[in-house]
Amino acid sequence: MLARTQSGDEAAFLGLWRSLQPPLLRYLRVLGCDDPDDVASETWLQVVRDLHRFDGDDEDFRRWVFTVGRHRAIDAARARLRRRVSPVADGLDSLADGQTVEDQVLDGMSVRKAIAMLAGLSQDQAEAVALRVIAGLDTPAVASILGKSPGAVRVALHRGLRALAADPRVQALASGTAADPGLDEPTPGPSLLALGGGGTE
Amino acid sequence: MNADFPGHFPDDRRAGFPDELPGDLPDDRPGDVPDEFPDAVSDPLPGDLLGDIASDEPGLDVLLSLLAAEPAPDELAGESAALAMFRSSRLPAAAVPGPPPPEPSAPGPRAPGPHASRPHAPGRRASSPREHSRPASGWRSRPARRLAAAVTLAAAAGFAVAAYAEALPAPLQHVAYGALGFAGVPDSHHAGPATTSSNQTGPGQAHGGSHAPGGAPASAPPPSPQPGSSASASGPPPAAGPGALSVIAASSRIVAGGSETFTGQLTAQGRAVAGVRLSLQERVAGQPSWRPVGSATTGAGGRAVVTVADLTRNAGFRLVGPGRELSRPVLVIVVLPVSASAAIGPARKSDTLTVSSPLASPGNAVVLQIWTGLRWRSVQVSSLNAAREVTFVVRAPARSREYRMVLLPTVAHAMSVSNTVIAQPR
Repeated sequence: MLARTQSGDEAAFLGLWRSLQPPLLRYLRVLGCDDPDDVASETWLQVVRDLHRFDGDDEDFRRWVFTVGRHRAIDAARARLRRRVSPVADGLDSLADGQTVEDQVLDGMSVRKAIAMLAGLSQDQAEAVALRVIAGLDTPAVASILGKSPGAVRVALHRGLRALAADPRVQALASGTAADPGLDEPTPGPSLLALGGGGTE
Repeated sequence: MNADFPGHFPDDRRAGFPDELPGDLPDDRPGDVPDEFPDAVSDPLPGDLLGDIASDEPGLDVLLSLLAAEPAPDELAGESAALAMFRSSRLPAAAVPGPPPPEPSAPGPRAPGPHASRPHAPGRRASSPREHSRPASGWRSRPARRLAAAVTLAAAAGFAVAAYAEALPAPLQHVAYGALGFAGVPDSHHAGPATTSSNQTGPGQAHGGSHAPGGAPASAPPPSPQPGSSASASGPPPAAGPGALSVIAASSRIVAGGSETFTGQLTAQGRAVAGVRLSLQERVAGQPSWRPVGSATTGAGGRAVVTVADLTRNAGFRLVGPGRELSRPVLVIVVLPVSASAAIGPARKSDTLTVSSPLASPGNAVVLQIWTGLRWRSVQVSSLNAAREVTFVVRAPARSREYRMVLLPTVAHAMSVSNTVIAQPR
């Protein structure tokens, strides 16, 4: 599919986009982007532009997309820090067939709530879990994106999962009694600046 | 974005954002991710860690399932815009917006190394790079050809329609502006609402409109369609198939009490159908059934426009044709106005911060946030009383403090953020 995309096959590109866009958006939300759609668009803009130079397999491509997304998220965080705009809840634009308005809204909230819980971890733990679980990358790929050793990623992943497992809200998920969504919306992040290695918080 | 050649993230960063990151970022050069960990042991996941921990913890299992759940419709909403971007990237270089693309003769299948610079065409003179980046005939110097190129771009990609309507995501809108700005395409309004002046958030993102069936992009129609114009060629995205009925909303998010304009299109065998009465139906969050809220007759382009006023709750909308054809519904999210104020407390050792949201419901949760200098941090949560107000009491600060209140989302409305209030030191 990747080779077909590089040769200009639109159906192949759409296949790649459909498989990567949802996890990319969720990853960007974990990072605290307050406009993940914009950042994802920036990411794809760069990916499409540089696609002809890409050399690697599907997994390499996935890793590259998330690497670009991470960088664009850092750019966006830095830009937002200057503008200091208020975050806005993301749009829920279309209704799937057979869904009611409240189904749609609540479904979105469930995923967002899960993302918010994940974003409540420390930055390295949240990113390790997000890249591993949401992006579906293997540990070496996560390590290369984060600039850490695979061992450090495993430690962060383990600690992150343990912290999530111990969270009463996560435990409540099993019984469907989780706390109100939104209380733990990921704080959009100047903390993203720490991803570069020297954040102030 | 400028000078954004692969392998040059640092340059790109400096160009847009002068303050340097203290650390080095991993390179995002395609296909050239450094293999820094040649000794990495084989990946033990998911069998070892994810599976083991998750199977022991049912809640964690649910959480991980949610994180990896199937895409929601809104997560795939930008499909057509992405496709348009892909198409436009494959157009001849003269039509591709932005800075001159890297020359095709530059580095082979793999990107250059980390210290490689932007490739230069052989013989390119530093004194006049722009001249050399253009064809000798200079399409930019001939308005007619520029316009032809723009028209080609629009026809080929379906990109310009959304661009003229400012219906593209900000980065794409900016790209479109770069390519078609001379022909009247507006630039993106990238900044969101300012905390100091807005008493509600959200509706500013008008481009994020609703989507036609099949995930077509929001192609916000002009408020008053031009009769006689080639609407079927350049109007909203085509319907899903023969006899198809589609509807789009001018924006997916509106301020409570506002109105929303819906544009429907009826086609049969791919052709617009005129003179047909269409009914718009609404299903409000919390209501079990659809009810008619307006109707209109399709014009020459097969389009019909219906405006619905005074929306106060999230709602789905769909069009119904005379033969009971149904469009896929679109969702309109309502943002409630929220206003905040600060007053000195009776003992002067405290401040009272009051938030009011007249259109919200008693019991809706409100979070008080404080600006830490780097981010907004949640400090208290409370619920609206019967008067749709809530008061937070905070200690009088030693130096001025900025607060805001966030009305949390429900099925009936989106999240809203109040204006910022400042507690002054005594």
